[in-house]
Order: sequence, then C-alpha cells, then structure tokens
Amino acid sequence: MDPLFMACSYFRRRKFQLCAEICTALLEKNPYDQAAWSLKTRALTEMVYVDEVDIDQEGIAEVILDDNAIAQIARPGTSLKHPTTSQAGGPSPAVRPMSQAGRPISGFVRPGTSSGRPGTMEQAIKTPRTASTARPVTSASGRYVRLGTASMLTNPDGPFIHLSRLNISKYAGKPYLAKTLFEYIFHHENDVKSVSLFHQYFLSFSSIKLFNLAALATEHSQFKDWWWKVQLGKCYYRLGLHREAEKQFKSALKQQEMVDIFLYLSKVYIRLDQPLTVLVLLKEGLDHFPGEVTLLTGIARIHDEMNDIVSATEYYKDVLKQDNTNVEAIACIGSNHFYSDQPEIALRFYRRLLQMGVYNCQLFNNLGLCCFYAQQYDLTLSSFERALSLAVNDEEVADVWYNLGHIAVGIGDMTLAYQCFKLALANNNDHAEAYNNLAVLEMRKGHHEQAKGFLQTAASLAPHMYEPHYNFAALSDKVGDLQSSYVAAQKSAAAFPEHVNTRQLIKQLQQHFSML
Amino acid sequence: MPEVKSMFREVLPKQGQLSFEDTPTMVLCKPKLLPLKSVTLEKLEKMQREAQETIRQQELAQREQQQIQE
Amino acid sequence: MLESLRDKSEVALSVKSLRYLLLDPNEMEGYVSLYKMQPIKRQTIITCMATLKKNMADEDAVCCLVIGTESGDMYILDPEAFTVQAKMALPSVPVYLDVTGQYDVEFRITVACRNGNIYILRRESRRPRYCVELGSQPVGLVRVNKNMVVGCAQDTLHCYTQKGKKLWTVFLPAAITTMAGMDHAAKGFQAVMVAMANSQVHVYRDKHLVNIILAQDVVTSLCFGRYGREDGTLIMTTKGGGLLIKILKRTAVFEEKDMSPGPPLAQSIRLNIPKKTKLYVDQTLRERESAVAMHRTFQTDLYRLRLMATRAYARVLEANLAPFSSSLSEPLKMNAVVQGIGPCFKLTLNLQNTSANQPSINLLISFMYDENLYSMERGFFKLPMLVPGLNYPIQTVVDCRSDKGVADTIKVFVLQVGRSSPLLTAHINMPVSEGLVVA
Repeated sequence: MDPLFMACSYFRRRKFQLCAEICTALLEKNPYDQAAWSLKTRALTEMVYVDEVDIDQEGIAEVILDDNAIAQIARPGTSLKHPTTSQAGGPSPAVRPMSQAGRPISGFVRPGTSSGRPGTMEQAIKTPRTASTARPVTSASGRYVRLGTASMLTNPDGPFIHLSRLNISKYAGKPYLAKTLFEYIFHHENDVKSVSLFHQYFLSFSSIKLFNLAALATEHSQFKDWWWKVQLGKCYYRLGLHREAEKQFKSALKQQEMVDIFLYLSKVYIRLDQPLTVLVLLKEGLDHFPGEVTLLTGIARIHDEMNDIVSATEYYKDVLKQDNTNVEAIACIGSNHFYSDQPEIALRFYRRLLQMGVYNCQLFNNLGLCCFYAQQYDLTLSSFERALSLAVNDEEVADVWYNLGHIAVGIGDMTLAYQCFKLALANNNDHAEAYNNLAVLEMRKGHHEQAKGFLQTAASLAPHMYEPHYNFAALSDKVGDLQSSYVAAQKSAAAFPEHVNTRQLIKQLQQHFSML
Repeated sequence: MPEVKSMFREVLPKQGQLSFEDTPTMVLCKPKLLPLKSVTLEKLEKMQREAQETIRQQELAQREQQQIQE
Repeated sequence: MLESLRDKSEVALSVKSLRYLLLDPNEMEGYVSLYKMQPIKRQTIITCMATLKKNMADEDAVCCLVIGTESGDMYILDPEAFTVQAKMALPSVPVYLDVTGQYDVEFRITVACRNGNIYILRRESRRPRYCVELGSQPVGLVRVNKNMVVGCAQDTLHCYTQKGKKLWTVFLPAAITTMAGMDHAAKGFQAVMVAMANSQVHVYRDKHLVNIILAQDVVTSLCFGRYGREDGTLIMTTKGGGLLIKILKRTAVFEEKDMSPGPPLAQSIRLNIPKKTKLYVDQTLRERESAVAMHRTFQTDLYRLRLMATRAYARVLEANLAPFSSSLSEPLKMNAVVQGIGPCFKLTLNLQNTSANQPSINLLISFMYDENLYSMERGFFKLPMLVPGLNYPIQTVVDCRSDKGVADTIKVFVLQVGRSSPLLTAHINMPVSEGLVVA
C-alpha cells in the first residue's frame, strides 16, 4: 500500500505515533514532500492538542498584577473578582464546603477553575502547586512548562521544525501549509530556551514567529479569511493584549459567525472581568446558533462564577435538554441537589454518569455519599471500595477516606471514624477538613490539647473555612481563654457572617468583656 | 411554722418561650463531593504524567550510559 | 468645729467659710473681723424649672414658677412679686421636674435627681413623700396621665405610678438622647417620644411601640405641639445642627403591633425544606420491602470496611507514615508548607507537641529526597526542646537543580535518639520549579 495512504489511514484512526513515523521515513527519502510534511505536522499537533477554549489558566503574576479590570471597586454583581456573597437560594457554607475564593466547591473542575483567586501574593504562592494542579507564575511560563514537556513526548530526538530557521513569508503565501504550521507552533512552542523580554510582557521567540506568520497570512488573504483573524486574536490573547484580541475576534465575527469565535471572545471578556458583557455576547450567539451546547455551558459557568446558583442550574438544565450526556451539566446539577437536601435526585444524576461510562474515583465517591444520605445503605460501602481502588493519586485516596470518616460518624462508630480521618491525613498531610473533624473527635474523648493542636493546623491550612475557627473559639471559651476565643470567633465570622452560633458566642464574649 | 402558705406559685405561661439555653457544640466539616474533571484537564494531567515518566526514563538512561562509560 | 462640719459634709459650707478654713491661724482673726458684718450667703445655680398653675386649671391661667437648684432645694415663686412662697429640700440635686395640680389646691412635684432616685413632693410637705430608686441614671422624665415614664442610662424606659410602683419596662435598641411627651388633645392621644443615638425616634403609648421615625442624624431635642395653625407638629433638632419639622396627618391612626409575648417572629418563617420527591417515596418503599437484605449487605460491607480501615491504619502506624505520632509518650504533630516559585523554595515545618504538660527532647529531623533533583541546605539536624502547646516553625531552603519542569516528593522524618523507627513522617509534593523559565 502506498505509505502516504497508510499514514492517512493511521491519522484517521488516531494512531498518531505510527503516522508520524511513516511520515518521517517518507521525508527522509524526499525532504520536499509537502504532503508528508503537512501530515506529519498535523499528526504531531493532534498528539498534544488540547481545546484552547477550555483552558483559562491565569498565572499568579496575572492575577496579582492585573490591570485589566476596568473598575477597581465594581458594583456588586458585575465583577468576577468580587462575587456577590449573598447566595440567595443556594445552600450556605453551613451545609456546603467552600473553596478558597469563597464560592461553593462546584461539581466540575476545568483547568484554571480549581484554585480560585488568591488575595495576596503570599496566598498565591502557598496554594498547592504540584505538577498536576499547578497555578503557574505567569500563564506564559505555565504554558512552557506544560508544553515543553509536550515536545518531550512527541520529539524525544529533537524538534521537528526549527523555528529559528523558518522562513515565515515563504509559508505565509501557501495557505494550506501555513494553517497546519500555525497550529503546530501554537500547540508545541518547543523552543523553550530562547526567551526574550519585550516591554513588560514575556514573549518567546516562537511567539514572535507565530505572530508574524499570522499577520502575514492575514495580509495575504486580503483580510477576508476569518480563520486567520481568529488565530491572530488568539495570539493577542496569549500575549495579554486583550483589547486587540477583542477587535480581531469582532471583525472575524462580522465576516462569518462561528461558535468558536463567540467562545474565544467570551474568554477575552472574562479576562477583562466583564461578566455581564459575556452574558450578552453568548445570548447573541444563541440567537444565531439556537440550542448550542457550548454557548449554554458558557452562560451557566458565568452564573456559577458569580455565585448565582439558581440561574446556573437553569442553564445547565437547558444544556441537558439539548445534550443529555453532558458531563459538566450533570455533575453540577447533581452536586447542587446533594447540598440542597435532595440526595436521591443527586443519586439519579450520578447514576446516569455511570451509565454513560464514566468510571473514576470521584464518581464512585459521589455515588457512595449520595447512597448513604439517601438511605440506600447496601450500595454505599461497595461504591466507596470501588472509589478507593480507582484512586489515581494520594489526594484522591485521602478524600475518599475523609468521606468514609463522615459515614462512620453517621452510623456512630467513633473508632472507625477516628481511623478513617487519620488515614486521610496519612495520605494527604494538608487535608484541613480531616484535621478539623479529628479535632472534634478528640474533644469528645476529652483530649483538649490534641484537639487544640489539630484545630490550629486546620485553621492555618485553610483560613477560608469557618469551622476550625469556630471550633477553636468554642474550645477556648470552654477552658476559659476568652481572648483567643474572641480572636478566633472574629475570624469565623469573617468567613461566614451568618453563622448563628458564632454570633451568639461573640455577643456573649462582648458582654463578658464590658462587665466589670 | 405550720400556717405558712406557700409563697411560691409556679408560673406556666401558655404561650411563648419558657427558657433558652444553648451550649456551644463543635462543628464538623461537611462531606465533600469530589468534582469531576473535564476531558481537557484529564488530558493535561495525563500528558504531564507521561512527560515526567519520559524524563525520568531519559535521565536513568543517561546516568547508566555515564556509568558504563566510566 | 467648722473643720469637723466640713469633714462630715452634711451641711454645705459657704465659700467664705471654706476660705476661712484655708487661711493660716494668724490671718483668721483679721479675716473674720473684715467679713463679720456681712451675712453668709451661698450662691447656687438653677438646674431645672417648671410652671405650676396657681388656682385655676385653664390653659392660660396665672402660674407660679417652680425652680430646682444645685443646692438640692426646690423653690416656688409667686408670679407677681417673685417672692419665695414655698421652699422644699431634697436629698440630692434635681435634674428633671414634672409638676401637676394647682398651688392653692393640691399639687404634686415629681423630681428626678442626680443620685438615680425619683422623689415625689406634695403640698404641705417640706420633704419628699415617696422615693423611687432607679437602677441607673435618669435621662428623661415625662408624665403621661397619672403615670410617669423615666428613661434610664441602661437604654431602658420605665413607667411608675404616682405612688412609686413600677408598671412596665421597655428595652430600647440604643442609648436615649432625649425624651418628650406627645399630647394630642384633639385625638385624645398621649404618648412618649424617645430619641435615640441610632438616629431613630420611637413613639410609645403605654409600653407599646406605635411609631418609628427615622431621622438623618441623631436627634437631640424634641417638641410636640401646636405650630401656627397645625395642631400636631413635631419639631426636632439634630446633633449636626439640623432642624426637622414633621406634621401629623389628620387621618393618621396609631396602631400598636401585637407585641404580646409569644413565639419569636423567626418561628413563623418557614424553613426552606425541599419537598419530598416521588423518587424519595419510591426509595422508602424499596427500603420497606427489602429492609432485611439491605441491612445484611450493609453489615457485611461494614465489617469488610472496618477490616480494611484497621489494616491500612495498622500499616500506617507500623511504618509511621502519618504526620502525627502514635506513641503515647511523645505526642507530636507536624505539617509542612512550601513557599516560593523556584528554583529556590522555602520549606517550613510546623511542629507541635500536643501533650498536656510534657516537653519533647532529643528529637532530630532527617530528609529523604532525590539528590539529582533537589539539594538541601541541611539534610539532617537537631530540634530544640518542644514545649507543649506551642507551634515551632522550622525553615530550610530547598534548591531545584533541574530545569525540565519535573517535580518529586520529599519525605521528612522526625527521629528520636534511641528509637530505630521514625516518630512521624510527612510527604511533601514539591511544586514545579518555574524560576529558570521565568528568568
């Protein structure tokens, strides 16, 4: 069989490594074979292709040194950085665990959503930054680290395309080659070492090449090709020039309405911290593409970020009407139902995910919790066992043990609960919730000193949670240390102002202090 | 004193709160539903894991080569 | 003798007498001879004033002036000649006065004094008849029909009868700045107005709150009455120097909310409990049908879980993998924090001795890490004595040697002299070093 045909067939079957090998062989025979070159480029790109729309990883530098936000003190409900704290209609922090940003932990996590927005530089540096859940220093460096490793995967013997020797204008003239080249550079950027500073932005040599390529190609197509405008916009977005990116996307949109353009433009507005504009834009997109799942998901995500859980749930339901296998929507609605005291409905949603074939640790953990709280006790523990066996890293194991500890507390078996929480800690030394619950158990046994130590650790690991602060305040109050009780109670009230017990404790302490 | 009438009459109101007492109990952290990961996130993590593995293999191979050379 | 009088302070001495006591003994005679012809007087200050009808109860009949002074005396002056018609003595300085009746027939003066008491003076008595002791300083006194309403510094409002019996108490949300009576004769409406430090004015009719007026600033004085042609006007002055004039509508009706002691308002708000779904009901049916089987499965699973947990726990204890120590003699706890963006990281170990009163000694720290990837300042060092209850942050510096964006875990062991296995272990997942890339 013709080797090029073989390579194409491998490409179609997503066997990219084999395809690349055949193409390499072909290129060795004839270095000017454009078809082979183009196919190999595409195969290498597909190996490391990730959907750019989903990725929104903001680096630490971008979050702290951000001067993109228009209003320093935004009106409530108009900024993503200051979500409205009143969750009308949603469960309060008394029932639902909160993330560091002060929003409830959502049912679904995408790259960039997990860490929230740290307040100070110190907090930003402290957030757990393992290789897998990293918040990079800048989004540029994050990309390097991530995709520098990508190049390791695809080209262990050295880069396929040497950017420094690339003649951009030659390729700009050939549209079919230029597009594949552009995608390759965009997703690879393997020229990690050569970095140059350009004004206050971190640009790479490859970024400049990329930019030039896109600009030349756009010119060549006489500004009529919307694809190049979108790519140019993406370049601007990467460089942090959001207003220029907005212009490019808007002009591309005028030429040809595509769902992708709406999504990229919404990303730009999110970076500029204009959630209401995003909503308007996406709704306009829905006019052109009624029922488009990605647009509906985008709207639901914005509502979620602004703490408007009721609207978010509505939109996720719309998504499900269109596509009832959308994992994100099912997961979010399921978690909302669980925390609103309807675990049986949540169970139904998670069962659907199981039917769809999702088979991982998190799903079984959630199934176990829902079964327990919906009183289907026979299914609970087997789900948890499955979850433990499917866990990929230590943090997941720790979380499963933590939830098992909750089950044990629920059935009243304190020894089992104690063991489970300790196991959670052994697997993840920074599990603040496990520290807190272990402290409560130690209090019941009467070991005040141990409990105090655990609570102090929990409070220092997770200052956004109100439980360790409140427990520390109650404990100090009991032993008579009113000063530290008052300080801790204030911290708890700062984290969760509506907590009745905290308010009562503070009132009591204030009366105590004002009496003679 | 035999003739002392009981001065205390119990007062039992038919309405309203009689007494209010609240002991501060400790609060447990809530059970955590683990968020599911999107396809993108999983792919990123997989890529990163594979990359780390590859690098480790490469370094091992390099070290073995160095040792063989010495 | 004078000195003893001064010391006992029952009778107040005049200024001349006080001066005399201060002089040297040889100057005293000269002083006395200088001033012996002049009668001894004491200057006093008026603290409060009111008017008392002389013999008729009309609106504009002839009135006498009632004056209270700093020396604790009450004087009633004749309106025509301003002679002192009556003089009464009080144990303390009067602050607020309220007068009813007619001088010639029968009158009653209610006085609130600085010592926190209320005295009631009647005609033909030089000393007060009744006395009411308040818990705190009086801040205002208003008479409503036959009762008097007193505002106190404890943010409360008390009502007493003429004989001094307490009728009711109202607790206010803020401190009282001033009080005034509201007497709308045309409607037959009598109430007490209380201005408070939270810029509100509350109107009380017989212990029930009938109206709340919100002002822009703290109101410092109130006056209700006839202004021009309007019968019911309320004039308020505020702390910032403002003047507010409010007119009562002719159709206004004051209704009291039912403040009878009952279940608190919060009880009537329904809890947002989600409705029972059909699925829930179906599941309860399932439970009822297969209750025994469910229970059995659960119990078997539970035993398996207990076994698994205990096995895992035993493994952790044996290998001392946990960040808390299992030995009873040395209860310790450790937790590690990594800071920095690389290639240089700061590792902080927070150690805490969780025993009640036993310090820990002879402890050592050791690190285990991949030497090709990381280099540490000190891989092994001694710990100071750990006092129970305190948190010891111990810092070291870790350098990442690789620039390929790889990260590994570092294990920290706490060892004790004389033991072969570590007391506790901590795993630290190091973050990816980005410093070289950023630089």
